[in-house]
Amino acid sequence: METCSQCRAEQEDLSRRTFLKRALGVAGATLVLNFFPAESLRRSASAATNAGKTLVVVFQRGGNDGLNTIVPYTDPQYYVVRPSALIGAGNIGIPPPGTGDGAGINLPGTGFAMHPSIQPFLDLYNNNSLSIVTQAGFVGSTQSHFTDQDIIERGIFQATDGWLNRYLQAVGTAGAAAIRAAGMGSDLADSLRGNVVVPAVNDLTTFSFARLNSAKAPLESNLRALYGQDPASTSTNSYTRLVHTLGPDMLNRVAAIEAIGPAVPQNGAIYPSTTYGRQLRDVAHIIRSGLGLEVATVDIGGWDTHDDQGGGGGATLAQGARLAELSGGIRAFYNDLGPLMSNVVLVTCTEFGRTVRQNASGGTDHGKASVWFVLGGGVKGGIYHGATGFPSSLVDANLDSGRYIRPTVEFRDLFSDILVKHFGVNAAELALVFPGHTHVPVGVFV
Amino acid sequence: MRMGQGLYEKAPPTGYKEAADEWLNTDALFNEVSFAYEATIPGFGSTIRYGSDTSGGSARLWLKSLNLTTEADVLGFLLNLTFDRQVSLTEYQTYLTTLRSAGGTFNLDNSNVETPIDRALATMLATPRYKYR
Repeated sequence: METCSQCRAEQEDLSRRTFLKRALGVAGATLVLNFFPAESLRRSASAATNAGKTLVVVFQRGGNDGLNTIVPYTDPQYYVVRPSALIGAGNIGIPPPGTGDGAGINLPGTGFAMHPSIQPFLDLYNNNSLSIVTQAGFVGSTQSHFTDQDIIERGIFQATDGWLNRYLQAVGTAGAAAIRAAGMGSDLADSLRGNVVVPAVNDLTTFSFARLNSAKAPLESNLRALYGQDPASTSTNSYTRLVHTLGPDMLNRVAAIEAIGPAVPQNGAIYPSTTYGRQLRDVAHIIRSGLGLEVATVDIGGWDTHDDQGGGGGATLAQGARLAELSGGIRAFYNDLGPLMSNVVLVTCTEFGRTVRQNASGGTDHGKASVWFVLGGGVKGGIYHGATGFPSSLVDANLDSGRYIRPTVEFRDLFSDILVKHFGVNAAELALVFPGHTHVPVGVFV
Repeated sequence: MRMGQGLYEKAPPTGYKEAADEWLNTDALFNEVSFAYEATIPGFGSTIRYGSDTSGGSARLWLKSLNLTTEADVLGFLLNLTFDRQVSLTEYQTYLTTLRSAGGTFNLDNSNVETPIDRALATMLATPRYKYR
């Protein structure tokens, strides 16, 4: 009994410390404008604990074209397979930096340029707060949206639960957490599914029973009594246990969200007025409010650009618009959290990249590797091509099956880098998250 | 109202999934319970409330128009309607306690039973058992 009460005191102490740290962080944020030195992000690099840490996983569903996100503009072959969008309708090539409207943004010394629509990322890259992985993916991609999303979200195709849920199972929480994990949206990302009950939360502004007024307390008491019954007493349905678990879970999460009120972005952060933008804003709010959020997922769709992919600037069509939304949301999130970003890592994923050669419909088809971004506390910054480097020329002979960017950075290694460096996960815990996988560090963290 | 998976959110390639647990999560349950409350608790939402064409949204007047009188009559009728009278003892007692929450003798002529009836109905529609109907 004594041990137990001590344990609780320790937990309370930890959560108080976390709260104070966050409260101070908010106060400190008023001193900076919309930027702060990279050194502040490095302070907690390689921490050995998950206390106060958060990972946000943004999934670009549909398969983003990495080659037009981070553009190998110094390779003449790039303009052979993708003629400049400036010279003819249907072309998607991003013109070299400094060549006018829609040109790429140079990443000096790398031979690569950013798509102009991800300009919000430029400061972060220059500040070494953004790591760019150009050829992320996995050997054995099926090039099916469904299967490849499942593989990435489960970590192992044979698994029935998600890699983030296995993390929650393998590693205990550092302190009391009202919302340790959340899937933003009306359904739960596969990466968060599993034995640990994780709430899907669609919209903080409506996730409340406050409008019940005087009926709120008696109705909550009734639901707790009825959902608290033995599941077998209400149904023989095979999901009855889950329904009974979700009842009190939902009431507890609603109470936690009601207590923190609506999101108020800080530091002048302006999120895209889209579902994705709102959900990133809500994640930042939950982090700042000290509810113990360790893991959150946010989705952004619209990447399956088989036609009318477009270029940049005046030639922007589907992909450029989505890239602007993606990067604008993340930059707002980064600005909003300010110094609190030193305890947050955000990674973007997509199930595959796209064909190197543009197709006849002004688009690209399902490929293999693509660009993933990692930013936040402890991130080293820079551009990562994997051990075998980026092809010196995009000629067919240098491509996977003569058509695709070959995956050179295994996504499980990237996820493992995050778990080890950000959350301080040990080898035994890592083996529970990615059983059978040998971690070869990518090195995106300090 | 948002029930089930979001409309338009499952554009290709994601698509709607068919497995039952894809449709079951904290947010989905929140929306189902909210729907039950919208239909029963005045002021919670704008949805048309439970009742008959002539009851004006008053469950009490609707039940009265059916010539029900005692709380046992009312509870029996509602449980027949919602669950074919198959409820656990815990559920029956919860509903009965809720119906009696105005105090005094239960009387459909008395407007003070309006709120207890609304809350009993709200609970029935939000309960796990109703989720399987």
